[in-house]
Amino acid sequence: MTDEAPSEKPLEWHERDSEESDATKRLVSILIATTTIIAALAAFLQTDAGGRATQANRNAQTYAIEALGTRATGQSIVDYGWYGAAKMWYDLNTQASTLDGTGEKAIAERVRRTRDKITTLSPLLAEPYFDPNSGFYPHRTGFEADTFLVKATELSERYKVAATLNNIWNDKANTYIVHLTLLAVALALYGLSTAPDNWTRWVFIGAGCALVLVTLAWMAMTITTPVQVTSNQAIETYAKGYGLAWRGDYKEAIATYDEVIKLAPDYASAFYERGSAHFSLTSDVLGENPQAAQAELRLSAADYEAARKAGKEDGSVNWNLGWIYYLLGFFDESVTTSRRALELDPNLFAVRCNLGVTLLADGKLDEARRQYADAIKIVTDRVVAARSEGKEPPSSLWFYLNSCAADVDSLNRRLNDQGRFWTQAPPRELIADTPEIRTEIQRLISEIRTMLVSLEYTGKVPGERPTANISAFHFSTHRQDKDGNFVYNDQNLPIYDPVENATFPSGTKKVGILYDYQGMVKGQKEIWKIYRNGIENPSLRVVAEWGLGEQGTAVKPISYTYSTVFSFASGEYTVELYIDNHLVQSGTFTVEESK
Amino acid sequence: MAVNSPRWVKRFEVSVSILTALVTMLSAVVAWRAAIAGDSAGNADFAGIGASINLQESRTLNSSTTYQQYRAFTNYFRNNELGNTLADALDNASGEERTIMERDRAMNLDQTIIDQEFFETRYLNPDGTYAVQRQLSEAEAEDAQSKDIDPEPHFILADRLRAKSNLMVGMLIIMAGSLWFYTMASEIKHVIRYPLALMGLLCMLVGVIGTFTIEVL
Repeated sequence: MTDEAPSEKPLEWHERDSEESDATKRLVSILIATTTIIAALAAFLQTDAGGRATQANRNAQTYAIEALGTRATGQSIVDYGWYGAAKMWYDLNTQASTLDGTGEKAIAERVRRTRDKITTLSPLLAEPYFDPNSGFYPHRTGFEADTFLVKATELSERYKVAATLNNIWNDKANTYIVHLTLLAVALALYGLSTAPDNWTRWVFIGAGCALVLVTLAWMAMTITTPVQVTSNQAIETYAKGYGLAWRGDYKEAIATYDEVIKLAPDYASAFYERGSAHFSLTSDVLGENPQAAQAELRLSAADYEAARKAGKEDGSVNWNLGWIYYLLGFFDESVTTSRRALELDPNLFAVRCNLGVTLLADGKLDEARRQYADAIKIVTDRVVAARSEGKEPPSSLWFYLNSCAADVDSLNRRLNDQGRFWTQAPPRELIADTPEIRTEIQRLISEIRTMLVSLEYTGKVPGERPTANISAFHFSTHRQDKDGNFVYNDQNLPIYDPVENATFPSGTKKVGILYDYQGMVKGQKEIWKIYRNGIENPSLRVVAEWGLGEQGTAVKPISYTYSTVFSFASGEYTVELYIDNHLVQSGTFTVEESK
Repeated sequence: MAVNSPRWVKRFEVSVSILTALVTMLSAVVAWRAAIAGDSAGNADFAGIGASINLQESRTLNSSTTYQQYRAFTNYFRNNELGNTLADALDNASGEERTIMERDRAMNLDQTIIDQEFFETRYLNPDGTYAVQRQLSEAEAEDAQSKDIDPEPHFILADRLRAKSNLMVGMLIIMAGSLWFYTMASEIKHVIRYPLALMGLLCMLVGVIGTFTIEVL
C-alpha cells in the first residue's frame, strides 16, 4: 500500500481562493448594478422615442383626416361656385344674348340685371377670379387654389413629414429595445460568472463587459443620429408654389419652388413639381416651334432627375422624364427611363405607348411594334376583364388610349411639318424618316383609334374589317340665297357647295361632309367623332346605324343652326368616320378666327 | 456601539439589504405607473383621432348639404329677381305686353315658392341673401351636442400623459442609481460605504418624491 498525496488543497490556498471569489463577486455585483443603470437609461430613451413615434403617428393621421376634410369641404364650395352660381350666370347671359338676337331688348335687360345680381352669390364670380366683361370664364383653378388646395396640400405634406418622423422614431425605439436585449444578455453573463470557481468566470465577465461597452457605443450613436425632416417653412412655401402652379402661374411657381429647394435641398416633391412647371411653360411653343422649348425641357428633365436622386423614384417621375427626353430627341435616355417606369409598374400601358412612339421616332420599327402590341394587349385584357365581371375600366384608360393615338398623330404631323400648338413631338431633324416608318405611323393611328372605339362600344377587340369603302371627305357649305336663306333642291334636300381648302369663315354654323361610299350594309354601326384642336368634342359625336344603300354619295351635316348665339369656334377640326368600329375615313377642316 | 463593531456592521448590511429590496420594489411600482400613464396616453390619442374623424365628417356632410341647399336658393334668387324686375317694369307696360309680363311674373314667383321647399328659409337674410356661414356654424354646433368633435383636449391630455410616462421612466434611472449606491455600500468593506448608502437613500427619496409629484401634478 502506498501513501497517496492528499486531494484537498492546503488551507491557505482555500483562503486565497475564497478571498478571490469574494472580490470577484463584489466586482460582479457592481457591474450588475452599473449595467442596471445603463438599462434604465436605455428604457428611458426607448420610452421617449416610442412616445415621439406615437405622437408623430397620431399627427400623421390627424393631418391626413384634416386634408381629406379640407378637400371635401373646399370642393363643395368650388362646385357651388362653378356648377351653381357660374352656370346660372352663363344661363342668364345666354338667355339675354338670345333675347337681344330676337329684338326683345327690354326683357334682355331684365335678365341681365338678374344675371348681374348672381355675381354676389359666390366669390368665384368676383374679382380676382372673374371679370364679366372679359369674355373669359371664371378663374376656377385660382379659386380652387385659394379656397382649399394650398391648405390641403400643406396638410398632405405635413402628413408625409409626420409619417417620416414616425418611422424615424420607431426605428430609434426599436434600436433601444435591441440595446435592452443586449444589456439583459450582459446581465445574464454576469450572473453566470458567479457559478464557476475557476478562470472561466473571467470569460463571462469579459464577454459581459464587452457587450455593455458595445451597447453603450451603439446607444451613443443612436442618440446622436439627427432626426431630420422638412421644415414647416419649406412645407408652407411648397404648398404656395403648388397653388401657383395649379392656377397656371408657372413662372411664379418656379420661383417659389426655388425658395423651397433653398430651404430644403432634398425636397423631392419640390423638384418634381418644378420640373412639371418648367414643362408646362413649354405649352405655348412646343407644338409649332419645338426648338424654342428646348431650354425649358432641359430644365424640366434636370428637375425630374433631381427628384429621382432625392428619393422620388416612382412610376410618375420616370413616366414624365421619359416623355421629356423623347421631346428633346434623347431617344436612348427616354427608352431607358420609360423602361425603368415599366419595371416599377409593368401595367402602365401609356408608358409602353411612350416607349413605342420613342422607338418609332428612333427608327426601331420592330421594337416599336412590340411595345404597341403589348400596350394594346394590356388595355384589351383590362377592359375585357372588367366587363366580364360586370364592372367598368378606369375612365383614364380611354384618355390614355386616345393620347396614345394622338402622340403617333403628333409624330406624323411633325414629320410632315404640320405641327400645331397641341403637337408634342421631337424636333423634325431628329426623327428617323423612311417610307416604312410613315406607313407604320398611319397603320398605328388607325389601329389604336379602331381599338379605342371597339373597346368602348363593345368591350371586345375589333372584328373583321368591313367592306366599306369611303372616299376622301369634301367639306362643304349649305348654299344660301342672297337673303341668307338655305337653298334646297326639288326633293327638298339641301344643296352643298365644297369649300376651297376646307377653310370656313368665322361664325360658320353648318358644315357638310360630302363623301362617296361603296360596300355598305344596312344596319352597320356608324360613328362620327369630331376633334377640335386635337381634343374630341363628345357633344358632337354621332352614333347611328347605316340607313343608306350599298353605294352612293352622302352628306353628313354638323350644325349649330338651331342656335341664334353659337357657331363653330375657331380652330382645326378633324372628323373621323367609323363603320362597325373600324376607322374608315378621316378629314380636316378649319374655321378661321374672328377678325 | 462603534461603527466598525461587528454588530453595527451586521445591522448596516441588513439595512442596506432591506433598502435594496425596497428600492427594487419601488422601481417596479414606478414602472407600473409609467405603463399605466403610457396606456392612458394611447387611449387619449385614440379618442382624439375619433374626434378628428367626427369633426371632418361633420364639416364635410354639413358643407355638402348646405351648398346643395344654397344651389336651390340660387334658383330661388334668380326667380325672385326676375319676378321683381318684371314687377318694376309693369308700371310702364300696357295692353297685351302687360298681360304677358304679369303671367311671367306669376310664373317666376310661383317657382320661388317651390324653390323654398329645397332650402332652409330661416337662413334667408332680410336683404334677400343667404346666411351660408350661419347655417354651417349652426349645423356644426348641433353635431357637437351629440358627438365628440373636439380633438384638441384629447391630444393635450395624451401629450401630458406621455410626458408623465417619460418622466416616470426617468425616475427609474434615479432608482437604478439608488440601487447602484446600495450595491456599492454592501460590497465595499470600507468606511466610504456609509456615505454611499446615504447617497442611495437620497436617490431613493428623490425617486419616490419625484414619482409622487409627477403622479399628483
